[in-house]
Amino acid sequence: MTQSYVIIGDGVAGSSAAETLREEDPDADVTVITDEGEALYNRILIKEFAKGKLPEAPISIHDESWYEERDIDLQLNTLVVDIDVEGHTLETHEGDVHEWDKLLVATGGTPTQLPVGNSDADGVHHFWTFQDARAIKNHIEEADNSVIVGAGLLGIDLAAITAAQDVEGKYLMRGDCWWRYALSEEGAEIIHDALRERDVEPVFQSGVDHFETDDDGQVTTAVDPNGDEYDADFVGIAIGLNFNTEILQDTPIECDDGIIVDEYMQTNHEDVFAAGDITEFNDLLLGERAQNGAWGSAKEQGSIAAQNMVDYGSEPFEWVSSYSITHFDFPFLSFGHPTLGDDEAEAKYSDTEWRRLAFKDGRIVGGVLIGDLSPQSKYKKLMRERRVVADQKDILMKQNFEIDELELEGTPAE
Amino acid sequence: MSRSLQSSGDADVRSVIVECDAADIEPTDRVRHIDQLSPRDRREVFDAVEGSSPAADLQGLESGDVIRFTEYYRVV
Ligand SMILES: Cc1cc2nc3c(=O)[nH]c(=O)nc-3n(C[C@H](O)[C@H](O)[C@H](O)COP(=O)(O)OP(=O)(O)OC[C@H]3O[C@@H](n4cnc5c(N)ncnc54)[C@H](O)[C@@H]3O)c2cc1C
Repeated sequence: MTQSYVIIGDGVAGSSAAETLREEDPDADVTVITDEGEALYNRILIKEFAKGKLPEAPISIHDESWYEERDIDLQLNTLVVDIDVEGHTLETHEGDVHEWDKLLVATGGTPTQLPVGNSDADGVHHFWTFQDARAIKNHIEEADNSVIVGAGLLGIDLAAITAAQDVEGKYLMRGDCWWRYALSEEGAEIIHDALRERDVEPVFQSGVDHFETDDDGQVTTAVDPNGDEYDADFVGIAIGLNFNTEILQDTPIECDDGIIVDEYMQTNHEDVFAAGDITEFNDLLLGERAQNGAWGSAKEQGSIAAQNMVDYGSEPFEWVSSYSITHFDFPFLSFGHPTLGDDEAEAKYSDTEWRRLAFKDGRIVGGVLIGDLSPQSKYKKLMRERRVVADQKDILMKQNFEIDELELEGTPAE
Repeated sequence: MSRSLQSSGDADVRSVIVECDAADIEPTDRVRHIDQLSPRDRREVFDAVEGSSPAADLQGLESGDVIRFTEYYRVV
């Protein structure tokens, strides 16, 4: 019998699932439904487009012919509004009903709105889609001064866009440093200095109380909780994602922040799977449920989900996620879950070289490397092998550390 | 760190990675961010750019492709 697979979302998770499904089940019906108006594009590179560095075309990854060649039915501009899990159907905003034998939900997230006055004013931007990037680029090219809110991995992209477009910026942060859950002040200072060099001034113990606008509803000023005012005709906000789980409300599918899946990307219903940013998956390396928000992880989850939709239990997801920042002339890499764990070690080697590892139950579960990435594959190997090494921090933190300097007990978990 | 790399002349060397100007990127070029490479290719690019190996043996990239890392780099 011909299987019918429907995928909601044509981000990297949905698209890689479609590609794998076609390889694994050549005769199946495969449908991909997305509310966006364009096929898979390079979400990671839209920041380079907004900076004015890249033309539009290289941002595209697949055009519609890619789907046609693989006999994948791609439905653009189509929002899924309802899922009937027991009936194995879904409904689109136009009232069309699609039947499925197996369903993959790869709907990612939507940027969280800042819950303060006038956060919907003209000139206040959030950043997730190519359309957002086009609006940001058009606006920042005309802007005089900017305010950025959100001291994390997406906020720094907005700060870098401001810098690349030569617009002076204030980067308002709630704590004492950028990405305070993964970096210490000493490590973050390398990032702060790089921002200052580019005319973006970090402002600590700040944030936004409300925005002020002119008579046309255009933002003019950000007022922080201390009452300090910052002129801004461009505001970029990146304070997190709300995961797009609302279509699963009133279904038996178990959700928390995201959709809960096992290591095979299966939900609590045997015919419904999820992949990408939206999942809260059983992380075999961490030993608990986790969420990743990175391209490589979403792509791998899409492919793993597809393999298990065809043959459940065939391949678990076991992956050390990586995320780089490429705005500066020194490299920056975070891996695994650097904001989690019960123990840590860090070391600074020079003005642009710093490292931190996060441990849980003695094992490496994540880290951040600034300036020198040479040990990254060794740390990731120890993490994948689930080695207990936290008692040997002095060796791990040596600048030119080698794995054979460690006393390792037992055999690797791989 | 951000410098052009030259071929070592080694027979196994398949590609070299050369820093390039963003302004020279054509609409037809395939551009990939470092985080989009396979773990293996990513390691090759790290090593090539940071200088421990002058060239890269890349499986998922072709000559002419552009990589976004600390700078833009072209595979030649
Ligand atoms: C500006 C920016 C920079 C980034 N930089 C990096 C980086 O440097 N490195 C890195 O590793 N990662 C980066 N990321 C994160 C990375 O892009 C994501 O982790 C990845 O794209 C997630 O893919 P996904 O397929 O799970 O979700 P998404 O790409 O969000 O795709 C989900 C799709 O589902 C669609 N959808 C949602 N609901 C519905 C519905 N009801 N009906 C139909 N369609 C629906 C959405 O419109 C969307 O197209 C960045 C993200 C952004 C926004």
